[in-house]
Amino acid sequence: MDHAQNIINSTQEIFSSMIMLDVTPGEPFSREREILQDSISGIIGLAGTTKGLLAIHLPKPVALAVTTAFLGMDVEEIDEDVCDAIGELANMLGGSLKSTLDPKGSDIKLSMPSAIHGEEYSVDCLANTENVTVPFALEGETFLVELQISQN
Amino acid sequence: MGRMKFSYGKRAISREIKKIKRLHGSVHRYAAQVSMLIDSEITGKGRFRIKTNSFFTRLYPVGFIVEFAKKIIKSTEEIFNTMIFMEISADDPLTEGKEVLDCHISAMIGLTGDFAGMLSIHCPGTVGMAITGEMLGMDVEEVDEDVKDTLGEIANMVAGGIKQAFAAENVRLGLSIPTTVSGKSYTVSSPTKSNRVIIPFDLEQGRFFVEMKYNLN
Repeated sequence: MDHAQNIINSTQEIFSSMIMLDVTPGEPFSREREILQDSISGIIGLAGTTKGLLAIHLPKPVALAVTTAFLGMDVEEIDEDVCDAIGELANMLGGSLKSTLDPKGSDIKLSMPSAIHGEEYSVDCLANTENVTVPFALEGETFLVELQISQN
Repeated sequence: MGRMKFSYGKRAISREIKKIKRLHGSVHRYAAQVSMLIDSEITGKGRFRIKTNSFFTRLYPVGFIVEFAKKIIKSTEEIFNTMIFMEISADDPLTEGKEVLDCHISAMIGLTGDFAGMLSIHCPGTVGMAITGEMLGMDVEEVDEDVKDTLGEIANMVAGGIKQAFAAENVRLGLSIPTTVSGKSYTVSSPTKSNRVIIPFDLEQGRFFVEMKYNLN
């Protein structure tokens, strides 16, 4: 299954329909354990026949722009609203990917989303997962959507 | 107000249950001392229902958070006693407070099924290294891949224990894969509407926290 294409479809669909922003996908890659600087990440777990994790990593300016567009209000700092919006974004992406991974809708379920933000942190997965990360360009900045699927 | 008996290990605690507003999962801040709190909605209804797949609705007693806390404590203690051979002792559950928790590694795993949640283990670097050293039987000097993998694995095992405990009550859960977050400075938030319970555990090298965030529909 082409996870990269699924990520691109879901992300573009969510951004154009819910946030009214156009995003341009870049070349998919496999993210190593690298450190995120001044960013916010939304994560959500997938469990069932396919186990995995979906994460979206946005640098602070992108997160603020997305939240502003999403909620229709100005935000200048990473606050509760931004954390909620990014968590919700992860939830929507998870829901959209779930429907492509599992068209019948009964085999995969989503956990609760969580948001992580900070000046310097890394988000890592345990070994033996298949990792696909797609970078997206939004108004000159880049954010990442990462899907990790357990291989058993 | 009610009185709920709550026991784990050799200790038995009996304490007042306070009515509070719906718990908000906000930024990752805990008070040094918070008494056990119960979601006002649950308290209001008296009982709480979780629909399960087996045409069976389980009624949870007033102190659902207490039930939750018990399962977390039991599962965590079991893992530490049987897999890592470290003595740990649980402290009173926290729900929300004002002090920033000084943690440098968090391991998280999603729970899905009859309710959605996320289990996290938060610990300072030194505690993470001590646990990893004990579990792998080697000296650990920095927060490296081994530490992250070990904590991820512990989160997986603790969540597995909780899943089993719920399965015995006909509440079915599934687990996602564990993730670790580490860094000098980060904050973990959960959706504003979710509930959370946090259990501090003390061991020789310091304190770590097991947190459960959940949404009851």
